[in-house]
Amino acid sequence: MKKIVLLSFLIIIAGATKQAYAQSKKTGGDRTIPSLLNILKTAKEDTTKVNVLNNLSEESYKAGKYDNEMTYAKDALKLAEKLSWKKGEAKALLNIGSAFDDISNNDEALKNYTKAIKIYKEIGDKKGLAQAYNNIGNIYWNQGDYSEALKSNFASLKIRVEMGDKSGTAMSYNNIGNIYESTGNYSEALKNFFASLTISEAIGDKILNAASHCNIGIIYHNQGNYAEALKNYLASLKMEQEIGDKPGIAGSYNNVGLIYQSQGNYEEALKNYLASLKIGEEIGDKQGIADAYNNIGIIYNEQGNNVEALKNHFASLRIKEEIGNKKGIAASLNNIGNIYKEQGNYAEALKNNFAAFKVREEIGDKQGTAESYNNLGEIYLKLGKPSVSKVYEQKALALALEIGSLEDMKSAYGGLSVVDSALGNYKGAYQNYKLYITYRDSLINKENTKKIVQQQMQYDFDKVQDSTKAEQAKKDAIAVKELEEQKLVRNGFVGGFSVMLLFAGVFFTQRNKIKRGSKALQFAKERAEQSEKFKEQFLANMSHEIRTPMNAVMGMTNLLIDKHPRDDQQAYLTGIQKSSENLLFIINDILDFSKIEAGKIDLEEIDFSVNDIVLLVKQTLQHKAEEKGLELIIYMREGLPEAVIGDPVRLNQILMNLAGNAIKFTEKGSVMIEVSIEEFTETTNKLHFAITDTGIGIPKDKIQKVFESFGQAHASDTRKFGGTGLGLSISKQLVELHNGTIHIESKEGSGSTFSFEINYPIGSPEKIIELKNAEQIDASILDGLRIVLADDNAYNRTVVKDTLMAKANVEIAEAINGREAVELLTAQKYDVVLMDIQMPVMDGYEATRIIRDTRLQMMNYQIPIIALTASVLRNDLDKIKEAGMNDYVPKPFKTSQLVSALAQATGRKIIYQSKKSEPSVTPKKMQFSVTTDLAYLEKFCEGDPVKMQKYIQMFLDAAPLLNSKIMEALATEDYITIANQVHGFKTKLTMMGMAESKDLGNKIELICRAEKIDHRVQADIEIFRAQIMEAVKDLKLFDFK
Amino acid sequence: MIFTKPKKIVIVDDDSMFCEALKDYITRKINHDVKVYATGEDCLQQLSSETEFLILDFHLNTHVKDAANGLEILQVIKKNFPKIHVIMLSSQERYTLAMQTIQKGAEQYIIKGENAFEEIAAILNNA
Repeated sequence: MKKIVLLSFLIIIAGATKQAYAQSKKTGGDRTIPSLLNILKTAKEDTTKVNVLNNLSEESYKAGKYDNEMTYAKDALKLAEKLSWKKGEAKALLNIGSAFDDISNNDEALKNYTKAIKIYKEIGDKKGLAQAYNNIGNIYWNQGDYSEALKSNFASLKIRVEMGDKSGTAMSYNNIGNIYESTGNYSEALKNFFASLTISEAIGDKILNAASHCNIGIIYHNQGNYAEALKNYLASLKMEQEIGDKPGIAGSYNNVGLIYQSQGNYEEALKNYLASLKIGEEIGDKQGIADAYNNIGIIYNEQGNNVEALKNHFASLRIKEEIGNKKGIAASLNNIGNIYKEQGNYAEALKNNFAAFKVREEIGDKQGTAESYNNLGEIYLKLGKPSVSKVYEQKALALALEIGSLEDMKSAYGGLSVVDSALGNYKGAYQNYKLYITYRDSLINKENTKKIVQQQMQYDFDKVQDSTKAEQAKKDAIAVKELEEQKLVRNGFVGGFSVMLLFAGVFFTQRNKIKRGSKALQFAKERAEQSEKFKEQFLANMSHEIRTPMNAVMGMTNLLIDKHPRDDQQAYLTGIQKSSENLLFIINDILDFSKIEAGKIDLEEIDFSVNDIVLLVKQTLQHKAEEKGLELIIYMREGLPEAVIGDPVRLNQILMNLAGNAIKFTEKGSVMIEVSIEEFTETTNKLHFAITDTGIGIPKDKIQKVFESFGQAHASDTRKFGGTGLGLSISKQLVELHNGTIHIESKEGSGSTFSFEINYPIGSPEKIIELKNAEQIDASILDGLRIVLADDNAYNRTVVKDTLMAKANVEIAEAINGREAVELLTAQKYDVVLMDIQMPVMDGYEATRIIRDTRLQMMNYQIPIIALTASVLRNDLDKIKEAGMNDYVPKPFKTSQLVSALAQATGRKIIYQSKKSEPSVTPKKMQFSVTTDLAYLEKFCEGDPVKMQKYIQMFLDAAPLLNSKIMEALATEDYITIANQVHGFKTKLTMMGMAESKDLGNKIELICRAEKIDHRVQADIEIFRAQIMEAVKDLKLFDFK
Repeated sequence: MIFTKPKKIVIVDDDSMFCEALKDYITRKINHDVKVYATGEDCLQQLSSETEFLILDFHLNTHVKDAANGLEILQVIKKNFPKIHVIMLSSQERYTLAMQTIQKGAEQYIIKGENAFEEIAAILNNA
């Protein structure tokens, strides 16, 4: 359970300070604290003094001196009340509220802000009112009450827009953006930040500009769009450097550090955090320092250096305690506690996490509290106190539900499931586990989407980074110079900014340790591993995505071929069949290549005849060779063994690739496949295979190149000869996998010989016959089986169902996901399950685990489960076994594969059909009419036989008329009449359930109405007439009387 | 279908089975007064202003080769009996044809598909 919580590395613009800045400008006062104190010394007890006190309060706030902030504000309030100066009083109340806000005393802050609002309303001070709403909004935001926060900020926005206060308006947009960001509504957040940016650009407000860029960057950052995030952080940094906003610069360094951290580049991240820390120390920005320590601690933890990590987190904690930042204190305690938990020091972990919990509860941070409950629950479980743990997990859940946090709900359900199971409450454990899975899946989906985006962005990011590196070096030089110059200007400038930055706390509850070693090396290795994993996952997906529809195409084609198509239809179907086989071949090529690359191919060891394989290659390529006028010669030398043990599929693949290639590159002459025995012992035969052509040959310097992936000897070859360019490379690797070597002899212009040797153990000819028979399994052995079929793809369900039901008398219950399958199995007894792996809601693995879970005592818990999988990755097959499935059938499957797997799983004895008796037709179906189906009519007539008879009679009356009219029209080639006649007959076809005839009728009508008649339509018309007459014969048999 | 009161309905379609089936379908619950014609010309000869609904097919030339199409009939009917609600039927899913019939005064354009009967019944029901 790895959890990353990003907390508020956002910019909050506090409206109150902005106002103060404007006021002091008006009075022309100097705003440094020393000069304000000077004025204070000589000030009379008048409104100016109230202003000075208020200003001092605000400046103290910026300097992080919250005690002084409060004291000055209270003094200001007292004096203003004495003078009965309402405006000053309201201002002081705002500052008092702000001071309470700073020490996270939200209730007091709210109270003071509300008082201020009352006064501002009384005296009609809109600007002040807007600020008060603004500040209240920020409190609600801090508390996580986003709807109230939005309400207040919209109130503020409305006033500012009405007043034409542009910078105020921008500020409100900015705050509203922050709230949307918190609710995860990034698109609304961006809209508002961009509104803020536009205004700030229009009025040339660099502070706001920097803030907007920064916040826009944060949104992109959260979305994983690192390129855009970086762009905006840099824009923000540039602005901050222009105005010499050191806290801002420190913050931007921090954010850039976070980007590097997200990228896993801990070294760069650390560099940036350290830069941020340095500036923070320079300007005495305690909050910034605390955040930098915090983030540095996180990096050390990432790197597995928990000693340094703890040191930094403690440093961060100390500073936060000093400045009274409760939220930050809680975060540090949480992080410290989690490191102790990671180390197995549960006593310390408990202490710190409990302290974090106390603080969070006190300040009303519900999300944080839920997280703490979870952590505590986890620790108590580790301490062997499941009942205590359960109490905390339940509290966590209640809070998570209240605030709608998916992440916390997931953790809580997960925790409760483990706790219930520890307490022996398996039913509860199961229920919670299901809920945990539901939330996990929905989070994973979100996470996956984000990851994909991230992968895409990574590329952009690298690009941007490269181009900015040079620029950055230049910038850095300028920045240093500017900083030096600024030292000369005046220190006080820093205090003048109305931007308060609250930076990063990235908090982790648990993490995987990273092994020590050279950090750079480690990083590079991780990247490589990640990319390898990604590649593999991509392949698995590819495999699934392509094979799933291929399964449907090939399966349904086979089903149609079994249905006695007309000759022309048969031709099209065969075309589809061959093309899809070709396509599958290419896909397998690509997959094979990647699998070989990853060392994931295992050779089979079954008995087979080399002779059969070579003949199969000849059969397959014969046509191609003939097309080019080439002779394809097979030369099997004497003494070859009848049977060997090995992988026939791979041998076929090598020969197909080499011979296919030879045909491809030969214009005239011949291609010969020669097999001879090179060495033999009692148990093994070393066979020599040679493929010789009279083709274009390969130039000497290119001979090695032809085996490279995608390499063809001549640059123009791909265009001319096509192909994936992987064939030879795959062949070479497959031969090497057999511990053989491949050789080429070639002379440019006169042909090439590709040869290789493979050592095969001697096999048994009897076994081969047995295996051959397996192709003709009698499917009726499955009769009576009750099968659960779980697949989310309706086409694939149809293929499985129709394939099985056409050949055996089985009962099939369909489920569209794992959960439905589980539900079916809970309700009734079944014999076997066919389970797709990748399904929504609940996948095949999960469903199997639940079915097999003995604690649930399902009646079908031992039922054989056969995976239907489009994946061919070794990992996935292992996972299938691990999950408790008995067998798997790859997609697309052969009927015999499916039948034999089902028979084996259910313990039925396999019976082979003799080839002669294989029925080319299912006789059952022939007895019924294939043209009419009265189900529709019966439904339409609500089963009323009189009505049915009426319609049938109408059909019988109309059919001969139609027939003669069409005949007449055909004689005069009056196609329009044919179209009209067919058109007018359509409803009759529908009513009689003649779907096929109706489609044919549509086709005929379309062709007959065309400007240029395709006379081949006559054949269709003949078929159409024949179908009508056949239907008449059929329908005459129905007698309802 | 439950209709509140019997309506005077005319169906014009050269597909006799369609007419019969549609008639059966819409009179299943209430015995509407339904008349059926195979061509527009036949219909125009008999049509009275008491008719409330006219269900009119577009293609009407199965029996009489140069019979007027539904669109032409629609124009005549809208001119002589503007109050009759006309529902145009067609097996063609053509937007321009649909637009034309609506422009010429038809209230609905129904594709002769699987759900045609239900759609027609719903229109009659809601009228």
